[in-house]
Amino acid sequence: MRLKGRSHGSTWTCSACGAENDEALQVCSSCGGDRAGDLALPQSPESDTFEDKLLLPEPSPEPVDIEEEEKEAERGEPEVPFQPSTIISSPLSAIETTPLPAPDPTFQPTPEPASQPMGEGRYYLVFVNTPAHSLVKSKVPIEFDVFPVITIGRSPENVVVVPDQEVSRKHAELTAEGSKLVLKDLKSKNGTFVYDGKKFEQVTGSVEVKPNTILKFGTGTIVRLVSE
Amino acid sequence: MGRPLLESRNVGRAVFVGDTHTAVDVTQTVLDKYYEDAELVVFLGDYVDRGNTGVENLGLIASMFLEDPRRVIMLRGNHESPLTNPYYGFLDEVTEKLGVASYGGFKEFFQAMPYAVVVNDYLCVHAGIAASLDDVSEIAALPLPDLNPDNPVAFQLLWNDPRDMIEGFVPSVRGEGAFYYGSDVTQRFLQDNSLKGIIRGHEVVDGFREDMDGKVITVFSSRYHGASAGILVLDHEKMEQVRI
Repeated sequence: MRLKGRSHGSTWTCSACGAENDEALQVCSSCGGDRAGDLALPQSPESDTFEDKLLLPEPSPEPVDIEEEEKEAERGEPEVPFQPSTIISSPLSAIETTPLPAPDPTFQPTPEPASQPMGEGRYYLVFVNTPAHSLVKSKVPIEFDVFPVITIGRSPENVVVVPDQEVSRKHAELTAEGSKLVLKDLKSKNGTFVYDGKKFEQVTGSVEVKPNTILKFGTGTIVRLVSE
Repeated sequence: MGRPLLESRNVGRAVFVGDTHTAVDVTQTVLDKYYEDAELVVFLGDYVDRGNTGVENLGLIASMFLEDPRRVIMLRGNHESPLTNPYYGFLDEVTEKLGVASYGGFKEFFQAMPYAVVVNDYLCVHAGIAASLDDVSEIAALPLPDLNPDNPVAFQLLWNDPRDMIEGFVPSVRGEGAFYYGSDVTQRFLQDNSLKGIIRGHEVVDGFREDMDGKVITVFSSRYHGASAGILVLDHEKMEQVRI
């Protein structure tokens, strides 16, 4: 059993994103996740030990650390260093305006950028919980006009990158079919779940999700799909 | 001890200390620099685990309490429990320093500890509010001693987390029986109980974090996480965040 966040010589492995960090660092230089400083729980494989987790009397299916499995399956693929490129402010938010010489009383400034389709909702995912603590509360814009298929997973080529070892590299997808939002699980190892108000129900295949629904990827990452 | 909800207090100057997790130097600094001027020092639990000086840390706080029981409050955290001690280090530490048989004494001590107190209209509790808890006074009716604790409300007081982007209580990734509490239920609880806010620990933060427009303050006073150990100093109406 591999112990996460443990030093081996002069470096340690981040339990959230798998990046190697210098021994002197206490926070991952790649994803900002906290260094897990304790032994892994005997019955819980490599879960994030910074957050106290319970050892359940009747444990839910143990999360699979899929990194090793996927590495074998995708042998030969070049290693891509993790870059949390999607955790940025919306590219549509930086709007340059030239100052007018005199205010025009008939001018109605558009609060939304011109490329945003009128009448369509804007969405974002907000992190409710995830092993990389610095991401909790952060918002990721969901822009179907830019990305018709919003891919969600651990690897960097996804639209929404989730630095969580229990999330599959290609975990799920969000699409818009007219005014309907559809969530599809991509046969992820640890599952995709939708909160129905009482518990998290597992998604097999595709399911419609309403705005403001709470979703879970794997066992450690919970997001809310919010509409503005 | 022996009461789950301690008597409410109104003081001129109080200090609130979050999870220390064996950081006896933080506790010593509180004692050396802040204890003298404070009418009340509230420790929010999690004295042991995640380090190897839990016995000393617990002992120092307990000695402060014994010297002046009106001035020191020791609340229970989720790590004052056999649920965590075998896995996060305290059982090993006790075994090494005192022999495994001594752990029984700590278990008995932990299961009788209080969960909460209201100080200057702030609810002080290790983790937060619980589903089906409407009135602060209900905490007084929780059973003691409680080993893990097993009562579901008591358990949540020690395990739940605030999340202002949700409503109601949502199952937490920490495990069965733990929840996230949202803005709506928190606001309602504070209003119904005439409280100003909640002061709690439980989550790793760089000293402090505020949620729900400052109504929920998390304070974390450890060293193991590699960031700041914070304490809160309440001086009449003014709440100051101090890094140790």
